[in-house]
Amino acid sequence: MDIDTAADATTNGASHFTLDADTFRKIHPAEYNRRFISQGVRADGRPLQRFRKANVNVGSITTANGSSMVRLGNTTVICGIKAEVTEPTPEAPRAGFLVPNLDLPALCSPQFRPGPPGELAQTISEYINQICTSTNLLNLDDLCIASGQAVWVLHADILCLNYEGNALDAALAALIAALWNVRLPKSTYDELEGTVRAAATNTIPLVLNRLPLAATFGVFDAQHLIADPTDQEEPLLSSQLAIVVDQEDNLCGILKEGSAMDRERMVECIGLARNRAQALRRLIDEALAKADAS
Amino acid sequence: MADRKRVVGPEKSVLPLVESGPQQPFNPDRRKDGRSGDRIRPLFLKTGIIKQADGSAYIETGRLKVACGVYGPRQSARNKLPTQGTLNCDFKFSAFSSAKRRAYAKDNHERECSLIVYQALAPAVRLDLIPKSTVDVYIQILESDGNAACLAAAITCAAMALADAGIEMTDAVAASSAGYIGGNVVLDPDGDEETLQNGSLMVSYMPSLNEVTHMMQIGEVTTNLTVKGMEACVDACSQIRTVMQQALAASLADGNS
Repeated sequence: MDIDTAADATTNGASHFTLDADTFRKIHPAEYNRRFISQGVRADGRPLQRFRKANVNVGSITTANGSSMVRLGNTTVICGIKAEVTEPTPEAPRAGFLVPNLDLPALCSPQFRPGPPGELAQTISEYINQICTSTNLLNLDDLCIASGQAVWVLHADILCLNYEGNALDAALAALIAALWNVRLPKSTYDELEGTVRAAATNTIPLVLNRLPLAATFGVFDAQHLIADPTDQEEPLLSSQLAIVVDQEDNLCGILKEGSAMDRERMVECIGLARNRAQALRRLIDEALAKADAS
Repeated sequence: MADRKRVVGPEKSVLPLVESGPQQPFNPDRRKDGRSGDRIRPLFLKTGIIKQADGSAYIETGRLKVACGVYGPRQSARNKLPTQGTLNCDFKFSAFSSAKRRAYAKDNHERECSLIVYQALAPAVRLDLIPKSTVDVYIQILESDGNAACLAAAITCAAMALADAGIEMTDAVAASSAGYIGGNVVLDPDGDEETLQNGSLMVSYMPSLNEVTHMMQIGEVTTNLTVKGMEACVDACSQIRTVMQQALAASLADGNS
């Protein structure tokens, strides 16, 4: 496909020259996407408000107590949960810990550098942590081994392998699927030695109170609402809206950044987010059932 | 020092003591997964798993899972030799990849592995063809099972990813590992078997050129046994090469490279 840019104000009208589509995308990403979106279709062929195809897989990492892999289009994240033993705080002697972290390594996209986590990874990790605490995702007291002596700490490390935009939706879905897949070993606290002994097999599942899942939207050119933005679209959006909904259609969080957005549009997004969360939940259920069967 | 860029949990956490049952005695002709001593674990290789990278590969053998992404050749930030390109290898364990949780900060073991991967690959890569450029090789261990086997898989995976990125090499490097257990050479030992061994060997080899790019031996072993081990590893590398060629051919057939 050749795109004629002779009409563009950027070139002088005298010479007629053409750019191939890929070069045009690199030089004028906004204009490239605008030409698609104004026609009601995205650069990757999706209608404006369609989410990418999701894919969930659980239990493939055997060194973890629970694990999952979630793919949204080409965005791939892996969540592995490792349970270790630690001392509880004096204020909450029975409460364990859930420590979620998202890692966006240099491996997953050329836009990330090696080293400490960047702003995006920090924001998402922190937001996911807030959702976990504010929705009372787990009864942290369930993680108690011996009151005041030993509790489980669940390190939930979410790793992005392939970044194609919208890490929050993928990361939260991966966390929920992995938590659902966690099996803890039967364990006892030895008071004399001050040690915890655990059985060789992991058998005890966790009880999740809520299943919050996110759906992210973006606004392009202050008028077009698009769902599930890709990494190409993300820097061009004037505002972004992430909506977190649980299994009973309760809102668990809304994160809105960027310029103003009208109320009707936000209500529209909430409706779409419910459908998306439901669809993701069904995929997670299927993946868990498949893992239990095998 | 508290890490302010991550969600932090309790400062210290430990693994519980696991009550394990009686161990099966080791038999070099019939190992616990049914292999004989001269067999490697079945290997699955796929290229093009990371769409954003210039080249990528995934390797799975037994429980071992490694992903690798290659970016480049791209402009170097700093260049020591303007006539030559630089190869930058980064080896990282995922936090959940081992029995004990791994920290995010790179530890000495990971630094050592990065260096070994570099030493194994550098002789094969035609860095003289890409002056002033850098090729970044990022290796992520998703699940580890045996240190030497993990390192060997990482080298094989990185070589595949380099080939997928279209970086010129004199030959694809394949790597394999062996353990010395009670006077026997046991190919491709897993994590449990590594606890029994009194030495280990890891060989990186260019099968078409018949040249060894890197070899590392640990432990006290007789010279005869070392030679035997090396031959076993070189044979295993030739087997791995067949799988590598098939995977590369498959990626070209799909047109997803």
